[in-house]
Amino acid sequence: MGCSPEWALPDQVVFSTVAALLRISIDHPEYSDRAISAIYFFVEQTIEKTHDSTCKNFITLSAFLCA
Amino acid sequence: MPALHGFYRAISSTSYCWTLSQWKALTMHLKILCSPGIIDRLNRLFLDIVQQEVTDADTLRYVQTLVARYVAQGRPLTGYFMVCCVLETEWTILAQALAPPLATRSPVVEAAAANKAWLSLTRNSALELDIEDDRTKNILKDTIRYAMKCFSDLLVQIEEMDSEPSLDTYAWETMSESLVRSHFTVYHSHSQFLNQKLASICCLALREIDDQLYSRILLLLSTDPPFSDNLVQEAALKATTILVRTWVFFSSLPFLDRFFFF
Repeated sequence: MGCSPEWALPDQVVFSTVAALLRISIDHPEYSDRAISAIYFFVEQTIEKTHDSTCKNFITLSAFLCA
Repeated sequence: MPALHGFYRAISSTSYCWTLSQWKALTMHLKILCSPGIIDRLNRLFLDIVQQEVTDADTLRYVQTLVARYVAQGRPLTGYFMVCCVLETEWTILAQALAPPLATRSPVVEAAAANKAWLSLTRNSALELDIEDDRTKNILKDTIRYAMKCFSDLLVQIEEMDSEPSLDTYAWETMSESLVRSHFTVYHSHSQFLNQKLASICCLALREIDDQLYSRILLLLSTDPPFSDNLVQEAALKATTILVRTWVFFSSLPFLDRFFFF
């Protein structure tokens, strides 16, 4: 995978997960609706958390809360 | 923020045949991130952590290291930077809806999908998308409007920056604020660059040239641009390239002669 080691863990986790979801939906079109909705859900949840999470969580834990 | 950065990296490096309705759905979510309140909050984030939340030295060191690492990679984790990520994500997805990638199985290279999609739009004319519902049209138009608004905001802010007393710089001591400030100019030329890309791709999708975008490109490529920035002018040229592909009449404009002359 192309995860550069210099990125923070949440960054790498999201990168790998979203890239993997896209690849799943390329290889198995029958799952593409579900894969893409998972991506929507992630974006929606992450953005929602920008409103209410504490600052520290926002740079550290937010990826894990929504993954 | 690192999570959103990871999201942006995944989208811009993985080629995928996105559809217009998928673009629409993601744009609806992402545009919340571009609201002034959120940008502000993200710009202040590190300052807030240092001032309000962190009590122990370890956490403080952790946060500082994290921020420093991203800055070293040219990715300041500020609200401005997030806007750039959003713009880049939006145009990458829309560009691939207009020029579906042929091979989606390629090794993972940073921004590979974005670069490929743009290249494909400069070489081939865009797919004609069937936009039936007004809602999608409106979102495309809103996106263009947002991109245009950023441009006028920039002009205002540049004037403000010029008139700001130099003493003020001493007040910008904290890591967070100096970070935001030092990336202000970079952010703005970068976001202009992305905005023009995004706006021109929206025009392709709509199959109509936005008057404002058109006059902006004319202005930027004229002999007397409001500001001189290589990146912004490069974007204007790039935008022209893909628009010319689709609308031949565009190429009969006088300003293009000047560039072909070189």
